[in-house]
Amino acid sequence: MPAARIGWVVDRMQQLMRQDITNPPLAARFFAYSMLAGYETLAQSDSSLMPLHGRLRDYPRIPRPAGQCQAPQLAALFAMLHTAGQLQPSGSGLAAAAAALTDSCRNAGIPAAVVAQARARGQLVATAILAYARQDGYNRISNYPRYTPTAGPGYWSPTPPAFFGAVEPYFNRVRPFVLDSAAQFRPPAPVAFDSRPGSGFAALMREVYQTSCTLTPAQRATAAFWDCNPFALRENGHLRIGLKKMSPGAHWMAIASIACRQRKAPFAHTLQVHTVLAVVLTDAFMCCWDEKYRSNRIRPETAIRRYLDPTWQPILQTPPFPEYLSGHSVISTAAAEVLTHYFGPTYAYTDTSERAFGLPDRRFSSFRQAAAEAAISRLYGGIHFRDAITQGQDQGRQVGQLALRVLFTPVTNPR
Amino acid sequence: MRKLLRLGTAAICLQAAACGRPVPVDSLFTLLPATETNIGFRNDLREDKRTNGFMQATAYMGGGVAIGDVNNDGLEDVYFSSNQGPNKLYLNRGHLTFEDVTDQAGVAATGVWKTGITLADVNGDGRLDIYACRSAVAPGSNSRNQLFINQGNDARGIPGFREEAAAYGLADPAASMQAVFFDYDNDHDLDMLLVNYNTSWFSTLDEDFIRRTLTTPNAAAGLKLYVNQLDAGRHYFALDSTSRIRNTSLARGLAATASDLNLDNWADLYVSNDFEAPDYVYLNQQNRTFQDQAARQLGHTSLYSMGNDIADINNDGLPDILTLDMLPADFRRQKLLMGDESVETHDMRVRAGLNRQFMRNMLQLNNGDGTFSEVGQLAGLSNTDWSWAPLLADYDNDGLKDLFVTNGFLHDYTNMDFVKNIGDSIDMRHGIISEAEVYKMARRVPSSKITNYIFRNQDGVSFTQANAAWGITGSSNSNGAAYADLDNDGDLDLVVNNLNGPAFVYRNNARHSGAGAFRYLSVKLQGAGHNPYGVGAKVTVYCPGQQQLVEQLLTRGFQSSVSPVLHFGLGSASGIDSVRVQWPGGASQLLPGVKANTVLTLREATARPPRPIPEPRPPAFTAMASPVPGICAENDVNDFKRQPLMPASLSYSGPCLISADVNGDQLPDLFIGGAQGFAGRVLVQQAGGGFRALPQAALLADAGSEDAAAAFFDADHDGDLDLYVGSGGYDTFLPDDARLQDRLYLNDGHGRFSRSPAVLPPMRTSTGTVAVADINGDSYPDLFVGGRVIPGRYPEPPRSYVLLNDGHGRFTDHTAQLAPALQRLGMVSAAAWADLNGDSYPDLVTAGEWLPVQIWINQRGRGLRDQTTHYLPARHTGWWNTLLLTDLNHDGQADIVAGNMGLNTQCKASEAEPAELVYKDFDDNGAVDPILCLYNQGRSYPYLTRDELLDQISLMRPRFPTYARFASATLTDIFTAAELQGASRLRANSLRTQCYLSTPGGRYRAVALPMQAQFTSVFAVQSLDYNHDGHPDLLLGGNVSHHRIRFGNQDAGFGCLLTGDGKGGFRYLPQRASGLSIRGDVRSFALLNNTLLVGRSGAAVQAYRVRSK
Repeated sequence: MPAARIGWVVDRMQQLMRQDITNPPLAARFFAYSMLAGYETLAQSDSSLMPLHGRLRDYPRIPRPAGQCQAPQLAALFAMLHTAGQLQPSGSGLAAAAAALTDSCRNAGIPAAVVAQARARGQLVATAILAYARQDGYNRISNYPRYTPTAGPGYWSPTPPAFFGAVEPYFNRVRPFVLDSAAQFRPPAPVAFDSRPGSGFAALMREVYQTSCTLTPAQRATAAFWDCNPFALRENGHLRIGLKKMSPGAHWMAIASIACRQRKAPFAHTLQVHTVLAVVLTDAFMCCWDEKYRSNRIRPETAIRRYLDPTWQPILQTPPFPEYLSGHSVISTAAAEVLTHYFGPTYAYTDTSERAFGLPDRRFSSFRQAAAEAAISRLYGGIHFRDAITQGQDQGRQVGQLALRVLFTPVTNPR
Repeated sequence: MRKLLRLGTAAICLQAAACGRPVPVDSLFTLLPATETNIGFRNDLREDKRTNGFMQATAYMGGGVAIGDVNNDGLEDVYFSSNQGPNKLYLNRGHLTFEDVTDQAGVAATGVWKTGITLADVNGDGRLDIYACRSAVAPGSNSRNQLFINQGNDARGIPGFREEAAAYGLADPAASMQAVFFDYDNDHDLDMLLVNYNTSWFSTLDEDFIRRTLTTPNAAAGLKLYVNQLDAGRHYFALDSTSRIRNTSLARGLAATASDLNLDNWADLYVSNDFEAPDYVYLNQQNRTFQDQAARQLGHTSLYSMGNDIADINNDGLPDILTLDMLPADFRRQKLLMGDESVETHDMRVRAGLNRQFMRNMLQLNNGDGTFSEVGQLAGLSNTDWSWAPLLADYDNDGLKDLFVTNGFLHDYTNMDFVKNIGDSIDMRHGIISEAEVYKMARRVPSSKITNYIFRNQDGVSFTQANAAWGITGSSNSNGAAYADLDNDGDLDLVVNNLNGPAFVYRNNARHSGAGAFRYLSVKLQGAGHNPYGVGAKVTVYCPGQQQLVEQLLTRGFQSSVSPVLHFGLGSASGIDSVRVQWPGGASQLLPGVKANTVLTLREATARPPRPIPEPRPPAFTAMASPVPGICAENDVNDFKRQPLMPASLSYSGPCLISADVNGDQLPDLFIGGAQGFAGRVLVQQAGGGFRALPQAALLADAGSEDAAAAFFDADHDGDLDLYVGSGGYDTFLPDDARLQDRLYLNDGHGRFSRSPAVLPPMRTSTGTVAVADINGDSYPDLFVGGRVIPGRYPEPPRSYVLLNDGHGRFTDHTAQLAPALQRLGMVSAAAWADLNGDSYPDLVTAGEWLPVQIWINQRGRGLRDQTTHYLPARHTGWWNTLLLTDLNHDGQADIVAGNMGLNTQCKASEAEPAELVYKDFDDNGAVDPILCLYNQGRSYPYLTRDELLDQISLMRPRFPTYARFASATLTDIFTAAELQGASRLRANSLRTQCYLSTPGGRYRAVALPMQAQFTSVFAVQSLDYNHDGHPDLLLGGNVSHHRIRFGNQDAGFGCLLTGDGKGGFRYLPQRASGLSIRGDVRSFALLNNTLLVGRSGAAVQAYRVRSK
């Protein structure tokens, strides 16, 4: 089974996320459980993959059917598709992917019984992982009061053009995988709101404003490349068009696929990279979201239009949640820690994942370089202040390093 | 005549109902083919990458129709506008045949983008001229409007026109939708209001930007008023920049109508604006300035206001306003097309200074006292889809103005699946969408033609859709329209301009229905000076028991103007008593003995000069300074954030207001309940009638509770009145919150209260009502306490209590023994005691949300038994708010008045088609999921949107990946049979505020209250005798300003005064006669001598003095 099939599953999941307009934290959660199902299935036949029970929070003992799995990699793919199919709103769309996978096996001459066995074993593990997912508290969120923007001048309120409500205000109540709690890496409070000229906040505001006024083509390209807004709305009269991109998490999953492909990593290793990354992304989002709805800080768009220039617009559309911390900074930095762990600090690659969105390929000398660029792109894009970026990077680093400690003590290197 | 004038709507209803209607020949209207009429006009749209709805906001707004006799041959001619092609003039050659004379007349009007057209005698020479608007399509394109001055006829009777806009000063280059010619300074020439549409787009309308845009003038987009400066016989129109009509960049003007809204004989204006841009009510200040009174006089307006019309629809002599919007009638399209409702966006707009705006058609009934009651939903006119032109006129000649609505939009841009997914297919090169891409998209937008609507006015305020019966069928994308009697047979024909389709010419057959045909009167006006068509004149026709007002307003509806010949249907009235005309400025004339079925010509030259408007009779109530200080403050909570699927908010139920003498000085004092965080107040009456708050430490200590209900009674048998306060509310209380415990405060005889501990059983229930009576005949007052809700667990039934008094003011819970059925009755909002069966034991009447009005007969102190079906004609389950038991028909027996949701709402409920609430924790996540189901077009559907469902029950996401799939889903399509197992179901079959009258047999009969009682949700009912005739009258108060956005505010009530006849019959006294103008959410009344106190949620106690004998 080619390792690229893992990236193929990720891509199919991403197609559905695009259709469903899955928000960034939830997208990471979908990836995490789906990858875990695949990982666990393969781990039952591959002792090089460390067991996760005891490493991830509340991680169950997965039932292992008797007998030898004849096609464990195939079973892993089926497990991933089955899990995603159940979790994602448009998950029934993955039936076609499973059918295509079956067809390709038949064409490759794999006996039908082997495929059927792989499918059954994959589903068995998927069922256990789905039960684990159901216990993570996500579905209790509709039990909580809906978010009400904090009253007062320095706080977040919905932003133009669509004034969408706050996304996932209770994501910090979802069970994390490796963190003690979403508040484990609570950052320092943001620079205090103060609209008076000369204040620290005014300086942050002015920096975003002036950066946007003097934006170079290169900076503009950087901002566009890392936009990763799952749903930007263009409005013109009664006409509204939703413009969609990959979420930040999906972007990094795609980068992982690119890196694995470039290294020609074997199936098990590729799967491990994707799984660890998805788990870390989910926890990173939890940390970040925990702070977002603690500080509930105003977005540059709202602040600058109110205090500096009523006509100002950021070049990226402001995403619908509070400003501090910058989510992209947190999760990109965390992701870079994971990928650096696997591929080293100087692993150069070309990111081709944004082609589908009309954006050019982009060359990076390392994952950390890419993450740093993703972080600063939010300043260029006019959607974050500097402290949300730098503190976000710190938090991301801490999440990434903690995850690596939790998962790789003692260190395992399947290569 | 005065007598006639005072005859109200009630008399008219009877008359209209009694007269019956003639059997139609076929249907009221017949669509005539172009082969017969020779009207081959089509407004065909050629779309390209520049011309489409994505690039141009006005692309699918179509064109208009203007009708009038341009060659003065006695036949009405028709002019159409075409967006891209030539405009067309068709001369009426009789018998509904027409001749295209566009080229001979020279009125093709060049260029694009042509929009509204209007006929008006701009130069006052007795010949109708044509003003044709143009909107800009691209920067630099010629959008100057054109004025075709009528030069008179040639030998064939064809009029010639010359384009003279520049010479008249009217070649305005703004992006115009329509012009309104009217005389705003009463100098007998026509001035002009130009309505413009800002075609550039704002994508960032946040609070600050709205404020800024609203105060930024924009010559190309804002409203413009032109004054006609007649000098030496030459007309020149100059821009009037001092009129105080707001010229703003935030202008999406689609229509304006000039009507004398306040009857001061000066023309006022209503202006419709699309999107968040506010509508305006410009009242003429009689000094060449206007003042916008929309925020003050209208509770709310349409959001996407399209066309409008102004006419007196209830024949009370006051012009009413109708605006169109885009809310579909069927749930399927509502759910497919609607965006997320966001209270944040709504509130942000209000904060920024915009009116409260909701997406539906609005019918603003003129109360004649500076207020309007918006009753579009009660009237049945609120949901007509993507609508453009409303035309209010009497199409069936029955004496009541009906409504025609054009409908349709070439591409359904608001289709939610489209919005969410179309972007996927865009080829974005470097983040920029090319024009070609946009055009490709525009063509892929689903197109949906819709039928136009026609509604028959039944009684002045209720309308029934009559499309099929009247022959308005078939779908189209219709825009402008106009009416006129094209064949001079005494009824109004209709002409409609269609996008990408042939124009409609509908012949009206009302006069062809044989001997029973209703009669009519046509009126032509000959005004003085340079206003020969008498624009602005008001003509009133008086028939026995009826008056009809029609104003001479040519520009009506959307992009169009109607015939200058006024039309009156007379029904089967035996004759016309008289006709009165009031010319602009006030000259008037009264003509007795006018014959029906004729054309009457009225001449201003023979009118009497203006006389001062007579002083109205003093009203029944006069507002006075409130003797009660302070505000009944409310804590600001949004219940929908806690339980998003609750139909209505429950946190704004106060203030309760009760009165009694608490300090023994024989003067009634007051208790006013406080909301959570605000202590209740005891106010003692002073000698002069003022009130002073007595400090009450005990009440202050309990400020954390919400005082939902209260009662004064002597609990401990010491001769003074003690105070029971029911703790209620929803707010942020937990289901078992200690702050929900009810409280008993004992009086020290001087009005100082102390909380008596441990005298009540544990009652951590959000109380809805408390009612006092000696249940068991031991002469000590006992209590019924109704539970309203379990906070956070709506609609699970809370506890209700029957509490017995031991004589020392200690109460014990006897519900289980006396009335087990009352323990978990449901969400009780009101209760009252009265002896209904004459056994001297008090019986209990209860009502509540999703509950019937229920009668519990006291079993001589040994129990309370539900005998509703014996006493009441039916189990009317409703969303009851309040009950009043009092004798209304002088039989010594208590009658029942029950306040309900009313009929002015999106919710409809009847026995055959009940509203239902199905609830269960469907996804087993600990939250109750209440699913409101309403009937729509014969089937019950969940009312909630797809987004609301997915937000509440995340496991539904896979079931409904698209809006389309959800839009037509019924309850059983959403939930499996297994999931529905164990779900509870509540029903409501009546939302009417209702009166039940006792009959000699002891049973009750339901009697309908006047329709005005159904205008709003009723929360307070007071009986009184305001006119001192010895018969009890009723006062109803209510309103709700905390509904979900999709329901909108209920604000049509201003204190509804019903005059009783002593037999249980009631007549509505109009607001201008009652003098009541109570705004806001009324929750309680108190009547102390001749002072009426009104408790309003979050507002000061308002006071009125009752007119003395």
